[in-house]
Amino acid sequence: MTTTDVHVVLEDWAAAWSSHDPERVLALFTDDCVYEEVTFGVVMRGRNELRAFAEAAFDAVPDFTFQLTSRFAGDSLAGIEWIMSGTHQGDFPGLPATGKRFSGIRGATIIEIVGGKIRRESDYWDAATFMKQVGLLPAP
Amino acid sequence: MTRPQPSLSAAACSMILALTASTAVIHADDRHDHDRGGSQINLAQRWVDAWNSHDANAVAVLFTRDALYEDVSFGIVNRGPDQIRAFAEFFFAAVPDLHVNLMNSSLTDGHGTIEWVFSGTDHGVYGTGKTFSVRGVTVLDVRGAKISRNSDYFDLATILRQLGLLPSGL
Repeated sequence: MTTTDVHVVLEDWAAAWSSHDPERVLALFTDDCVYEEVTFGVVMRGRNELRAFAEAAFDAVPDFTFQLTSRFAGDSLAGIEWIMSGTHQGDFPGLPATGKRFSGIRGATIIEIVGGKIRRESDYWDAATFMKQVGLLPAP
Repeated sequence: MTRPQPSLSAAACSMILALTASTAVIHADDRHDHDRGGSQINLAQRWVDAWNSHDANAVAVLFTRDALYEDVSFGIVNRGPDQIRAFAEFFFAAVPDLHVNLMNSSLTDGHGTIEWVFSGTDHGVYGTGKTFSVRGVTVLDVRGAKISRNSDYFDLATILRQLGLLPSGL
């Protein structure tokens, strides 16, 4: 797999999460994928768990957008930095729906790609920033 | 930061004072900048070792003179080794048993990531006296053998929850 191919997968990642189509997200992953949402402390194993997670995420935020601010392809791992925006219309784990808009939430994701598909993904971002924007925590 | 954590403002003030007070220091030449290869492979380990040494100079020396060090969750931006040294000194004082465990790292062609677990006891960030442990990732740009950009991502809400500073249910 060339570096260019890895960059295509990374661009597709942002496009899929911004498409609000769980099947488009799933198409990026291997059957035995492990997807860690580190901030929420949840791990999805395999396509069925990942489908349920993507559906829940799109129910909670029907207008998600992910914009990549950097991407790189390493020897064993790839990485992206991104900015997440949307409207908090449904519940997240421990975060009841507020109906409020959030924007500019920065995060980073580590991705292991095997045979052109994502086998491992770990997402890191700050839920406190999100909580402040949607009014669940006092703003600074 | 937020109103329920008044001591952070005090902490932030001390840090700003420390930054203001720091005088220009002439650095040794970034003479390892052209030492490619092996030193890049070990850079993640050197980054972790520097934080675990509790020596702010050991942290600062990893960075280029024009380096940008962002703590994205705390919203702190440091530029250059002097500000980075003051930032490290603040955390070594505020979290006296600060420890970083290396989980994974990757560094290729001047870009890389370090996944880690950051743990310790909060004495001076929020003044709770409680322990915390959080996973995070650092994204690096590297020039030669030194770091030119360092962006730390982690969930501050996880720390606040462990310190008892989040409203119940969050």
